[in-house]
Amino acid sequence: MTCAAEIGGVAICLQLLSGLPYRLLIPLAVLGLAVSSWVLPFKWIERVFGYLGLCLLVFAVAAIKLHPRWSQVAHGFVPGSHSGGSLLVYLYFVVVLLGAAMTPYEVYFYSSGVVEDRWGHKDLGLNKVTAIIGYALGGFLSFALMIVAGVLFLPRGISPQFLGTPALAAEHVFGQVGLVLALVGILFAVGGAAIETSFAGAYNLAQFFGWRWGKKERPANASRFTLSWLMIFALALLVVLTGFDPVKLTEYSVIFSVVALPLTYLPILLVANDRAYMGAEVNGRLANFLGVLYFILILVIAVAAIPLMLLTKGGAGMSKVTDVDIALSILDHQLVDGDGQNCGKVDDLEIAGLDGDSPEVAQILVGGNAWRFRGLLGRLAARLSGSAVHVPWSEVRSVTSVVTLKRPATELRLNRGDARWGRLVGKVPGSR
Amino acid sequence: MRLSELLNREVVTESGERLGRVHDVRGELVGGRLRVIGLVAGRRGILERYGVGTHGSGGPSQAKVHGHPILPWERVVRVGSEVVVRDSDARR
Repeated sequence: MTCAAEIGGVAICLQLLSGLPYRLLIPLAVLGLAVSSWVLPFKWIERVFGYLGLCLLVFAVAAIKLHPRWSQVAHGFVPGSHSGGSLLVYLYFVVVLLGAAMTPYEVYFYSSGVVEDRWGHKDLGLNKVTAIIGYALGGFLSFALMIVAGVLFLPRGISPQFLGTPALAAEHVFGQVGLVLALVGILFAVGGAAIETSFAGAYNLAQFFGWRWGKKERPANASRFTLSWLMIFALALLVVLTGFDPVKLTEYSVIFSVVALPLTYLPILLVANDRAYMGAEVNGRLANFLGVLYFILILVIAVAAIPLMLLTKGGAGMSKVTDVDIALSILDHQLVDGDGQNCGKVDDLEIAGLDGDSPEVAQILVGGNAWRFRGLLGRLAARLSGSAVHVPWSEVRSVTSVVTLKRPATELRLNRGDARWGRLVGKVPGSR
Repeated sequence: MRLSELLNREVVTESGERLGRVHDVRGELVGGRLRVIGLVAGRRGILERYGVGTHGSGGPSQAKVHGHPILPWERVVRVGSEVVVRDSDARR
């Protein structure tokens, strides 16, 4: 599931960089990642994806150049301050952020990578530096992303729910160079994470069953290990092709990873206390105190993760009631499909149950004769147009400054005009 | 019925008092549904239609709403060529 979310993320980045259709780019993303994993030695996988992922530092510079009010940044630490006053939604995002920072696959990949790199006693210092700088850098970048979102998007009522939206913050500050740096950074950070996830799964399987494993082995010699990571990519491909929103998939995968976290960290804590494995490097009192404290923390968030997800409907805060004036906030507003593409306007809304106690909006009407009650010009336009497209309200994911749908426009029969006229415009040289 | 059919209809009480026209419908977004909870009626708010003088930033938890009281849906008796509402001072 985690690998599927990451592959979806890679495909979205490729779509934003190339303009090609998302669904075409999903298999290309998997192919690219699989070929990189096959061809590149372990060290080079780490270097290529790690160094290019550092392009994400553009967000750190953007966060500073946006001159946030640091008192407001500090206010963001107050529970409930930026989630419509809902403490539960705040706590849900705390759990998701902590979970994303310490997902179990990172532990499996890192520890197996140490074996791949043949680290020994002399590398303990390097290990400490890597862990401290690596985690600090990840936390620093997460913090920078939240600051740019808070400064740039929050006051405008924009919910950065698409992977490409935060990249616009870099463009806002640095222009096109910033946008490209942000997208390349996201592409390689998420692509590297996809490789780590598939390898972590293969490491787990191989080590559990006692197979030969590692990139240090020729693929044919460690054939079951090789087949394992290839199969993980293939299964992830199938999950992404179902069309499930990769951003939601990421949230769910993080939440379920959080539940598994104690099962990952307890064995590490136990082994760290076992002199038979650790020799002179066995945990001291301070390390154990911190280790137990850390374990209690992850135990608490593991227990809280699923109830918080259910209570807050995945952080959407949908249980929270929001009043909205429909003509003012929804009618004539932009419709955006599940792939983030504009796909028409809310031209009218069908309200059901007006003769009862609890009427509700049942459908959105788009185009065609949806304009027929909208004045003289509307009646004229409706006569010249075909039938309106009816989109059930249950297809709406969110209402912000735009109305975002759950599925791609084509599945809802929207955006047919572009396809129809595209056949004509496409004949003009240079139009494709 | 479509929203655009409902907009601009005259609102009258059962005793015949004219309260103005419907210029918006107050909804409640909860659990992925959009329930109608009242009517925004009164003097026409042309500027309000374009967001002038309204409340809320338009964000996820800050939807734009008109700045004056609404007629709760419980007061609506029937929706015909006019919207008839119960006589009451219980406007909120």
